[in-house]
Amino acid sequence: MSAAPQVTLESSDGEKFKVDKEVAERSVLIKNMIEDVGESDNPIPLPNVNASVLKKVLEYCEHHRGDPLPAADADPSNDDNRKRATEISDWDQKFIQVDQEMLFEIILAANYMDIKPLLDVGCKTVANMIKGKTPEEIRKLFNIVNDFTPEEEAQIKKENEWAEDR
Amino acid sequence: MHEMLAIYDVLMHILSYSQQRDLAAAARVSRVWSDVALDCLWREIESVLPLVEILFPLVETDDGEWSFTRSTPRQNWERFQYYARRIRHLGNDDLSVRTRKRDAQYLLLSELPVLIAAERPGNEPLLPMVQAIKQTEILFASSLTG
Repeated sequence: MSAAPQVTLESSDGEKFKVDKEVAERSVLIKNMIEDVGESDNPIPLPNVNASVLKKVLEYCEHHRGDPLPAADADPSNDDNRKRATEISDWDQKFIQVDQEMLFEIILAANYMDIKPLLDVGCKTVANMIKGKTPEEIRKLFNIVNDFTPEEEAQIKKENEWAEDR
Repeated sequence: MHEMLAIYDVLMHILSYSQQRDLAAAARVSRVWSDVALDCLWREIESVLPLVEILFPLVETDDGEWSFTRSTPRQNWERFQYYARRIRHLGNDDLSVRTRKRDAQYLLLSELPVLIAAERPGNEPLLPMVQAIKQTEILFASSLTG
């Protein structure tokens, strides 16, 4: 693999990462950038991703470098997702066992860099975290302020009670 | 709170993996979460009853019967629209299991075209986003989409 073409990525805090082009191109954003500007020795700037997050993201891309690319038209809001088990492969499971801040940063980076399988893993992980929790438990878990009045919250509860046993 | 938790598309992606009961809980977390969770929960609904019962709530009487009032205040229409605009696919009610509540629901659905015609305040589409309505629902839905 030593002869494989390489590209350099630059994190928001100025750290440079030299990786195989095939690895970097797991990111649709980077793939499109390379296609647009052509082969170049200039580093590709990623102003929204810091070095610690980029390192983690590249670890994922390296492990999954040979995977088939996902269909571009997959709709995340499609209801079929719900019926699909929120299963995560063993390697991905281990990979995503990070603190909450890192998990959320990985999701933001995967969203920005357009790495759908990584975004899926991150989002599934958060979905699993809220599974079975009450609204108050979710707020505590993620430090979210309740901006509903008790009356508003009660009304939403009543109007959506039909969903609670499903 | 982390900024990621307030981005509509990302939150929608997360909640697309959630079961309905978890969406119902997420809808009460905060205003931002509520909007995303309700879009997700109401996007495809199996039954028109949760929506219809916002307009005409079923009440259990002391003798175990269920009934509904045949008029509905303006604010119920506002709540109706709050949910109706999120619905894109309407499924098929299974009314085959007969209970006292079911009987009242069946009566409500059969009277619905008349009730809607009498009570509806304006002429905006009732289900503006609906793309697909399945078979038996059409009987009731014709009064909703007309």
